[in-house]
Amino acid sequence: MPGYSEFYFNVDHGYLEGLVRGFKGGILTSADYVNLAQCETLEDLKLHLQTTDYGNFLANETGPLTVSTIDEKLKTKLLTEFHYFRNHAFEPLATFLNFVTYSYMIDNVILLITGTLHQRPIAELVPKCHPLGSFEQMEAVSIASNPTELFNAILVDTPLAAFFQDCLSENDLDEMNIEIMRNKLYKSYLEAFYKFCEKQGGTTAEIMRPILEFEADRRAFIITINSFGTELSKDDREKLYPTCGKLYPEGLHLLANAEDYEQVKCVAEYYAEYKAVFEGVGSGTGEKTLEDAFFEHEVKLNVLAFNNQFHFGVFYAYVKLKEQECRNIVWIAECISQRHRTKINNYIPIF
Amino acid sequence: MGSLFRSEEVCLAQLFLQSASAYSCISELGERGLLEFRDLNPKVSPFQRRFVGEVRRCEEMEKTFSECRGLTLGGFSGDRPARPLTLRVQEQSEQLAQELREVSRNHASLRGRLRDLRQCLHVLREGQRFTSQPMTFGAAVQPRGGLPIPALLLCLCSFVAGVIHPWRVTAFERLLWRACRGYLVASFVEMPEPMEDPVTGESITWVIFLISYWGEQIGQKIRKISDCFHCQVYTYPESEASRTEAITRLHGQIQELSVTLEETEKYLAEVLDKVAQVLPTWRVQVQKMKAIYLVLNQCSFDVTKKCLIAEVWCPVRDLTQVQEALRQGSVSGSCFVQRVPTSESPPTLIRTNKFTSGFQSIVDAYGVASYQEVNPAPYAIITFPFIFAIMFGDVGHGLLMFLFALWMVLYEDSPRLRQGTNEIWLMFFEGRYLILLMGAFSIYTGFIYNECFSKATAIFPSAWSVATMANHSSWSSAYLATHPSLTLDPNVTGVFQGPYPFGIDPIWSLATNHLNFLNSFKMKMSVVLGIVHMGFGVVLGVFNHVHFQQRHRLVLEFLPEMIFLLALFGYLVFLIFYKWIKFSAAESMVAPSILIHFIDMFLFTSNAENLPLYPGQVPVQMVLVVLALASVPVLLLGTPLYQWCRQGAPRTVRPGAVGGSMGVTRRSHCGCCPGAAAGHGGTGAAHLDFAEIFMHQAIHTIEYCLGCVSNTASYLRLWALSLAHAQLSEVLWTMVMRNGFVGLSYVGGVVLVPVFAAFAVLTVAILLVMEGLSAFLHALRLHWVEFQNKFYVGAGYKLCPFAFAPDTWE
Repeated sequence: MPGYSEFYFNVDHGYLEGLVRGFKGGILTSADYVNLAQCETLEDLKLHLQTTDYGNFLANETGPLTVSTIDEKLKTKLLTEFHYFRNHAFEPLATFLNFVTYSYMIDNVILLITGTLHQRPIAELVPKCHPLGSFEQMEAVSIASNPTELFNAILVDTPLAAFFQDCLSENDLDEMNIEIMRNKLYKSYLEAFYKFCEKQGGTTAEIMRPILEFEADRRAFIITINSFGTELSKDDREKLYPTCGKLYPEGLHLLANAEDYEQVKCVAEYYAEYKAVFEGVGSGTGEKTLEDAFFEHEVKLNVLAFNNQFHFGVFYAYVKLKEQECRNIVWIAECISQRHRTKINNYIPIF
Repeated sequence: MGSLFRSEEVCLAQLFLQSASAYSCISELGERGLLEFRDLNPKVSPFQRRFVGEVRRCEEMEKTFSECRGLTLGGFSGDRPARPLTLRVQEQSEQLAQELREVSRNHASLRGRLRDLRQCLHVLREGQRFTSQPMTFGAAVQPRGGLPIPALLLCLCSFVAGVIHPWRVTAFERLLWRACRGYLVASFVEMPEPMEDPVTGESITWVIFLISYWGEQIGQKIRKISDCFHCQVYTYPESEASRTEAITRLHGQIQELSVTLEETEKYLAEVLDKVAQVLPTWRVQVQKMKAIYLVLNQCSFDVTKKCLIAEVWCPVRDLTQVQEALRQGSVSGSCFVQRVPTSESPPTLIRTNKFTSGFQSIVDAYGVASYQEVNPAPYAIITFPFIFAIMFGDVGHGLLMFLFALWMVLYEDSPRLRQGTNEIWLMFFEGRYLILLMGAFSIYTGFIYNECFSKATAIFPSAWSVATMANHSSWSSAYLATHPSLTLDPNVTGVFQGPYPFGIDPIWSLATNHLNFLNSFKMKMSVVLGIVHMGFGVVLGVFNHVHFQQRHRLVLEFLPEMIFLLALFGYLVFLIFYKWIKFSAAESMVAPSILIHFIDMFLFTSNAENLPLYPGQVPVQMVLVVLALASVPVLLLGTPLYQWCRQGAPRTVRPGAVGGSMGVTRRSHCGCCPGAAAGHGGTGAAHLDFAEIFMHQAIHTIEYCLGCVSNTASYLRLWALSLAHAQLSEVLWTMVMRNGFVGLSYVGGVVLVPVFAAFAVLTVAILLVMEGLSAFLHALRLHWVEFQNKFYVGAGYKLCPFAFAPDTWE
């Protein structure tokens, strides 16, 4: 029954939606960021974070404060909140929340495989994984030597198996193949997620559509830009583009034929919002990078999700916004600890 | 007691604290809890303030304490923390924490080692059971994997053994199977005893696994996988003999380790004891210290940087005490306090004791009194329980309530009552004196209504004589048999012998027109009491006008308000009493209706059927109505016009003259028209916004005039609720308790027990708690709305002194 979600939504998901909106109130405001950016030391930062919704999440840290402990604690907090959502969720929200974690799972798998390829010990790699995307068999990923083995032995039990169909090949795992695999996984994941949201219909689809479309297009742009100067052929490149974005199909064709950054920019010119994003990018130091510009646009889209009620988009948006907040705090903390204050204001304010 | 009538005089003062003795001064002041500190650097963020380092050190210590905390018990009685002490405390606490940390780390590692050894032992034992069986019996093994393995093969293969978390078993098994394509045999057995999980500390029944495999390649893979699943892998000796040897060796090691562990535990307990002894006092000291530094952070420095300046709100009465505290706190006696003039409205301070605090909090719940405004709380001490009791009048119920409150009052020092965590209970407990008075007044009104659990009591003989009536009208037995109800006529001499000495005559409870009689009485009583209550509220306004030097409001506000109220509703009260006195039982047939008269009064007509109460009634009433109506425009325009004139005149001559002259007198504070305060207190710059004043006055006038009508009606709730209470208790008696009086046999006695139980429970639940709450709420409303809006502004804020109160530290 799409379209009438307001009548029955609250029966199953009302509590969690209320909760997530409450949590959203705790997201740092730009005033908080201004204060954070004034901090002289990490202790100051901690002191200020104590006055926000984070409370004394660092209070039990003995020993000197480092950026990595802050990062870890921030992620643990997000993880606790997310697990609370997940444990109290009914279908289809439960599946939706699962979908949110899949992207982190993909990143973790790829991270581990790349790490093993470079002969790094697994114990060193695991802490670098995003806790939202950890799963039971995750650490076993390192024993696989090619994608088929990876799939057959390890990933077949995980929810990622469904996205893996396109990646099955006997090729050895080298850096190029891993990157291709990541993008293929991501493509299948995004398309599946998009389809899932469309199936939900109603406001959920309405809200998630632009967010996922943007996500897909962002990947297409980034794949294109990153593939310049590599041996990836144009056909192969086109196969990696997620097809659920606004660029599909014409834009993707154009992107596939692009040869340098200027041409990518030309493609973006045809689409109003991406044109704005590319125009915001500066080339000099201290100016916005393309990545930041994309992040900024993402934040804008995610904030919009809170304008509607009775849909799942708020959960996705909350996780993403919180993740951005973690990135911001870590950025500021890094700048403080490295005494690199000139770039401290390059965070992306949310509210 | 004087301060209960209006809030105490509070002044803004500056404390000049020499930097050396600032800390001890603030500490002294905190112990006494006299002053409210004002933040002088509100724009400075918390981590840029001056004493942030000290605050952080306190937090550091608190962190150490919370680390040490665990086994602390007992009360808190912290001494005043002297500054040199802090260093010592910090040093000692860190030392202790360090020691504790080390010991517990040792302890943990020993325990971990012991766990390891025991797990290893279990693995070997279970493994032996598994591998040695086929050797002895020569039969095929049936492991969990489901493959029968020829026993001989077992000799050729190698083993990986270890323990795994029970949740991961299935995934582990599946992955092993997939990754190694079945070139292995895995068996899983639960460990016979549960052991601690090193990560979470929970007790878990671990699962022992033994994997036998062929080939080195697969062995490596298996090891890798078991690593990924956080398994504890133990070396598994290949031969039977070495396994037995390992087991005996492990036994020895375990025993040794147990002894060491015991020693460590003993030492740990000692250290913990030491910590538990000193920790509570330290904690209080550090918390006090942190509070002091937080206050110091609110101070600013003077130009020479030698002296801290704090701004405080200080009750004028306590200035000497503050001086005293400063003298004690400072070394050289160079700290002092100085009053500074201010145009801000000071906070409200009303000192209460345990008796008055309940009533004060009722008033504060509506709004904290504006500075030096008349405080309605002392009057509420009597009026509140009384108005409650009018609605709750019943001797029995009142007595129960009184005894309950008396129990709380008598045992108020008992810690069990005090430290309840139940919020509802604490609310009752806080209001115990209120409940006590409510109960006492209910007993009083209960006697007046002559009701005890809805039954009338005949303390005095009834004033009505049935015998006289019977003799007079010579009722025959046949007449009595056919007429279920008889009429007692008060006009017959001897039947009614004058009023009952106190309250309602008990004979009324037998009468069929009982309700009619009581309704008329209670309705009139409610109106009379309501108008008296409201009139009292208007009179209290006089004290505000006089205190704030606004004598013009006496004439322009109090007078018209009083005339309006008395001319209309005061006259109604007069009529009620007049009729009661004037018309006796004999003339009751011709007594006129007050209601009709009152309506006619407004319509300026007279009704021929309704006899006049007294000669010349119509002109008197006309005059009264005209007076009342004439007072409305005075009320509406008086104050604004007066202020306009006052302000207009001097402004043309010499701006600032008003401000100057008013500055000398007491700072005026007028809540009804906030613009007025600004107009008086400000200098020439602050101009009077006439429109705004006029708006406020218009609102006030409309509210007052309509309010007089609606509030009078509102007091009728006294009648309604007392009626409801009486009826409900009567229903309870007739429907429940009377069923217990069925027979006079022993059966009746047995029936009475459950019936009384039901009656008692329902009485407490419905009549005492539910009805009591509703009567309380209505009494509250009558005070907040009907009474207080006649004079009370309640726009102030409370003085919260900086104090080391014990309850804030828990």
